Amino acid sequence: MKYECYKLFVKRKAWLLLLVFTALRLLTAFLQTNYASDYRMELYRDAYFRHMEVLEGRLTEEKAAYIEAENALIRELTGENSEDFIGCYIRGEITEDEFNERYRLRTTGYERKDAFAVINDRYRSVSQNPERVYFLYSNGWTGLFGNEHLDFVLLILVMLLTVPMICDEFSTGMYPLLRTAPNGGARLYAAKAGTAVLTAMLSAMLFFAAEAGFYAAVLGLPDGSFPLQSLPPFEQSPYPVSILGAAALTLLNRFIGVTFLTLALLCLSALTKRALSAVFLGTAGILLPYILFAKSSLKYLLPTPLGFLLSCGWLKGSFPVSPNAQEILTVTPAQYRTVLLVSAGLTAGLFLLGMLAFTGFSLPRIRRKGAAALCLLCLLLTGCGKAPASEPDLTGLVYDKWQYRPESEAFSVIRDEETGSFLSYPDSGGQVPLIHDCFTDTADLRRGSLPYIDGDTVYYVNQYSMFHMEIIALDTRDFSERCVYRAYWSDNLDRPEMLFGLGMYLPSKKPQEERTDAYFVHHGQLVLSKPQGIFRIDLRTGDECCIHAGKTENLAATCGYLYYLDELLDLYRCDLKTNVSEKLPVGKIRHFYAAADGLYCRSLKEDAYYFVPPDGSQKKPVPDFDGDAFLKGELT
Amino acid sequence: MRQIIGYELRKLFRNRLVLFMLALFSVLNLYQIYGDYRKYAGSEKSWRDGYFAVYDEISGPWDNEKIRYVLAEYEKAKAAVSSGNYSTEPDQPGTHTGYVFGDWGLFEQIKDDMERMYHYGKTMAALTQKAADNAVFYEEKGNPALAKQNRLIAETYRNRSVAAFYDTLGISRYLKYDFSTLLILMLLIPLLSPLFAREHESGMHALLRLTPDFRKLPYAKLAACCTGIALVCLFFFTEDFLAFRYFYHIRGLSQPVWTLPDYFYTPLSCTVGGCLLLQAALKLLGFLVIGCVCTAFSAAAKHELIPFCCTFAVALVLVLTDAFAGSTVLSVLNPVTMLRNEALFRDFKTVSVFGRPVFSFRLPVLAALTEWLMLAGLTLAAGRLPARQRRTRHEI
Amino acid sequence: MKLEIRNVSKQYSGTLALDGFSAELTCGLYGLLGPNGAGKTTLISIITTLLPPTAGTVLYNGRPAGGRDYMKVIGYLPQDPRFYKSFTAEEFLRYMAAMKGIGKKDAAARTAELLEQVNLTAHRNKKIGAFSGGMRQRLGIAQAILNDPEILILDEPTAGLDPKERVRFRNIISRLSSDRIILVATHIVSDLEFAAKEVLLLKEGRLLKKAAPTDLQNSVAGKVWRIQAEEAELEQYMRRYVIANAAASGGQYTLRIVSDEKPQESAQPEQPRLEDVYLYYFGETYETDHRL
Repeated sequence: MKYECYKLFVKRKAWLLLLVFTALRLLTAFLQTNYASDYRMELYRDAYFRHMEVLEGRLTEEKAAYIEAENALIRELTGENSEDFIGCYIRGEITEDEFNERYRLRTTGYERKDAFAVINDRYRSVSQNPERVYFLYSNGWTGLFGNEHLDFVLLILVMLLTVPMICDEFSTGMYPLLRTAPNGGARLYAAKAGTAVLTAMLSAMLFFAAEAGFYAAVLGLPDGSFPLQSLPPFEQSPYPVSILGAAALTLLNRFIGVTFLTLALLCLSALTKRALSAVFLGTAGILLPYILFAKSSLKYLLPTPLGFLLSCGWLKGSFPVSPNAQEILTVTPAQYRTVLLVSAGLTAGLFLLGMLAFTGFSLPRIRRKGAAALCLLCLLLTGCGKAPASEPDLTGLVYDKWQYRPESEAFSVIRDEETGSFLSYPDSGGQVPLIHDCFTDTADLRRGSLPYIDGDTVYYVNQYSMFHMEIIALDTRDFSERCVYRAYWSDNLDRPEMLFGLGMYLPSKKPQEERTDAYFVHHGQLVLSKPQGIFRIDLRTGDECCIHAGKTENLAATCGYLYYLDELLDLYRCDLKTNVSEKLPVGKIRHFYAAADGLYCRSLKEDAYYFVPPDGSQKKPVPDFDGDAFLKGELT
Repeated sequence: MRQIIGYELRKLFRNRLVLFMLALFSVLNLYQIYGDYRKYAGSEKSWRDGYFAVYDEISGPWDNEKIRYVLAEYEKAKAAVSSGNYSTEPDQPGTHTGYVFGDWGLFEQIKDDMERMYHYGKTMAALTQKAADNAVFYEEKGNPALAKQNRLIAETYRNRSVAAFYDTLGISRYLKYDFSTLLILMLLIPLLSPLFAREHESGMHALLRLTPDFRKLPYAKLAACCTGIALVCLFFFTEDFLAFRYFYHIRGLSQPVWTLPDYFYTPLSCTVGGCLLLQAALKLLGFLVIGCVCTAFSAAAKHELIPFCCTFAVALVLVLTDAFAGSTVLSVLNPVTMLRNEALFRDFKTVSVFGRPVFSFRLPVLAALTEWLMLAGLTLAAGRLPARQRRTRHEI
Repeated sequence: MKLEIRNVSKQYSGTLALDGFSAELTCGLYGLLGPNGAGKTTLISIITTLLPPTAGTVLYNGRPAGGRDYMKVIGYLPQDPRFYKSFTAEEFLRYMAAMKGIGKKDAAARTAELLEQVNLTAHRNKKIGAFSGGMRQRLGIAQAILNDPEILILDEPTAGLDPKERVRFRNIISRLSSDRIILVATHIVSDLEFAAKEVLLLKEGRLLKKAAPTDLQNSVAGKVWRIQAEEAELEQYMRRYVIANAAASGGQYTLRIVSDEKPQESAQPEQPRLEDVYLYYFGETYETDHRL
């Protein structure tokens, strides 16, 4: 066996292969971290960890009380209808500062609610089984051994290391010499098997250690002593083990799996005597059951290495076939014991069969050379990334009198709920549909959004699904269209559709974008209102900068400024040349309309309309103001 | 040359392992098709029997009697379900599927399909008219590109109609079925890996180089490779079709392809049978590309395990890229797009090429053809290189 | 020591490779001669227990051949071995010593001794991949005798070697043959002519003759002829007789013919050599030899 190890590690440089493949394994782990099992923990990481400082561990009365108190606070902060304290403000029951404070608290309340949602979800499980389910940050552990996926890297490495151990003896003509040596034959086969198995186990252990190091560094692996059921994928586990114990059991299962696989490959090698045949059969033997039984517990119950290589399913008890799936798989300890026994028997049988084949089933013919080679490529997938925020070049940008209403001298945009949107040409009196899509009957702008006119270009939002948004620039001279901005967000569990339905069921991916609502375009500048704030994107360069951080409403532009309401319903204006925003001294505003020479604001307190000049220096009552008529252009 | 190609083909297929796996895979394929049938045609036998029996009755050219029959059955089942007075016991007499709720679901589905197909001509006429109007509009606006595109739309969807009604479930499932694609891929890699590499391993390369027809050999091998791929594909495609035809009672192959629900707006103008052939041809193209990846590795390698591992890794990366890349340049260049071509023809999508609208499904096809030719060229170039003189590292 | 091969037969799906082969081998060098396909490699594989016989047995010192004890007394050099090219000569012998159950200390000493014996000491640290064919064969013989075997089986040991290497090899084998059974399967008759104790002639799986080289030569006495022939007659003689040698000189050919009958009146009898024996039993005329 000493010589077999020498041949493998020194002569065939298996140590180099191990290093390279371990690096590859780390790379795949890195690529998969985007698919952390619960992205909500990462989204609200700071808040989550703040809570964890108190809650981590077993549920106690104090912790339950903490949770109840937090929920009560959230209810208190968010339970109040905004109209209630708006009403109080209007009635003069509270001052503006008090209003601001309550509004801020309410917003904070919703943020707290979102951040606490994952804890509440967990609390439901914890409170049902406080003896076994603890609070802890689980993404690291789940990434390490909670996700069910076949480790192709380990599979290929084991094949490359194992198969040539037998096949090369035939191809080099050494087989007859070794067979006729006293320590050849069965002893040699046993030595090879021992070396191969130990090397495979070493590989599995290296990979596991590397992944553990990676997850410990990137996500953290806290509280290994907690019960296994504290990890969400293992809630239904019937095993009274700790997380560390489960990790060890997973590793042990992988050892069993690679042992089974190694001995099967050695047997195939001895029977076929050709490296290619053995590798092909080994690959098919693992891959086909993996695909065929991806949604079935048979992948665990069949006596193949597959179940042990997947390993985590053994500990899960009952679990969905894929994240968010309805169908539940159940794998019981009794089944595990049965499969383990059968697999052990099968492994022993394969070992014996391989030994028999190696020692005398057939005349060893000297075969052509076969070589184990390593050639794996990784393709880094890059998504579209936003350019780093930087100041756009405003040189030469001319600020005309900005129009809010979708109107230009040559045309205007008219919207009708029934017939759609049209370009209206006042000179000729004609109307042209804005959108000329043949394939939809009701192709129109997205509900709730307005088109913007910038010179000859009309910008409109084309939304074709709940989780997509495209801003289309329509050149009214020739009606050509181009997409100037695209946003995608998803708050559901979205997974890529894979060829053959390969059983790589990845957990939910973090949403790429926050929902993007209002927008405004002028002079090549796209201004977007997102939940995080207002952003400006230079459509020519792609540069992006933040104008105002935090929730905003009612974005509009006129008179050379950008106007908006912040979450406290204060009116701000922003000079887009300098990106400086200032609060206008007009009090709280419920809503406003932007006109060519100023704003028509609906005061929160008085619930009446005022005309406010661009600098907000005064307020002139406009009692008969009709917002709908204004929008239709029926008011001057 | 034909003789050499014949010998190369024999060398390829005279491999007991490959033949054994071919037999095994064909059994697995049948098993998977049966599983697909049980899943999508209804897990209950009574439902499946009722489904096919009803379609047998109503399939064929449009007939007012049949339409009235469907509507009547639908109304009857709907009324029964709405009333709540129906039994949930299986195998109820007087029902098609064995129970009233099943009948309601079945006839609702048939009614919707019928409506879709019956009104298809009208829908397309309206679309064609709109496109024609758009074309005029864009011409006036001085946008020839969009005008051409709309003319293309009008031309594509002109005079479309559906003259008969058939069940489309089987065909739709057949078009989406891709397990045999995996099997073919798994079979082709070990089949083709030794194509060139074995000559080096066996020392035959030195002998063959001294023959007068050596220069023809790489071409013959490539021809044998492509023929072999075609044969394997033909085998599995035929098996798939026959199995689907048997299980799903497929008919209506001469129907226009737009009768399939997913192909409502397809730009293709062919029959369902033609679409199946097209899909098969594109899959074959995809396999030819991947096959030539394998042969290129084989021609450059001295040991057959190297092209096997390399091609397996490349195939894995291509499959993952196809899943994660979305609609980007990568998906156009990826030959796996050819293997999963069902979605290529669903919608009207064009790209502008020198001011002319070109159907976007042509891009991946063109890319695949180009890749195939390039890889074939690479294979030929590598296959004609002289055997290296230096000693290679030898395994122990 | 006595190796008995009793009525051994081997059938490969329809082909009878060995047909009732029986022989007794004791100390000394035995040659196994026969054309391609005669069954030499099959016989060797059965003796070395690489293949089981279809019928018959192989006994060594009265006990059936096989098992670990038998492996300890066997040394084997297969046809055209390549070994491990990345191993050095010394590494390789140490490895084979371990396979043969030789202890570390003994292995070191034995390795040094054998490398000296086969004249590879200067190349002990050279990789086998860089060896010439002759060096590889010498290494092969070194590994075969590593465990000082009582039975040494060599399959085509001198194929591809130059004359100097062949002579060296013959000398090594001769030295070894005094106290062990050595069985050499070869086509190169001259390797056995003066060294072999007995030669076994194998044809189509059957043992034709087993005798000392001199006895075999005597068995074809009076059947080897030398004649002079014109160039025009050459083809005629080649069609009719087995030609052992044809030497051209001044437009005439001196032919060495192996034949039961005198080929021409003026034919002179020649002293038979072992090669003539081979040709007598296995040779074919131009008409029957499809290889021409």
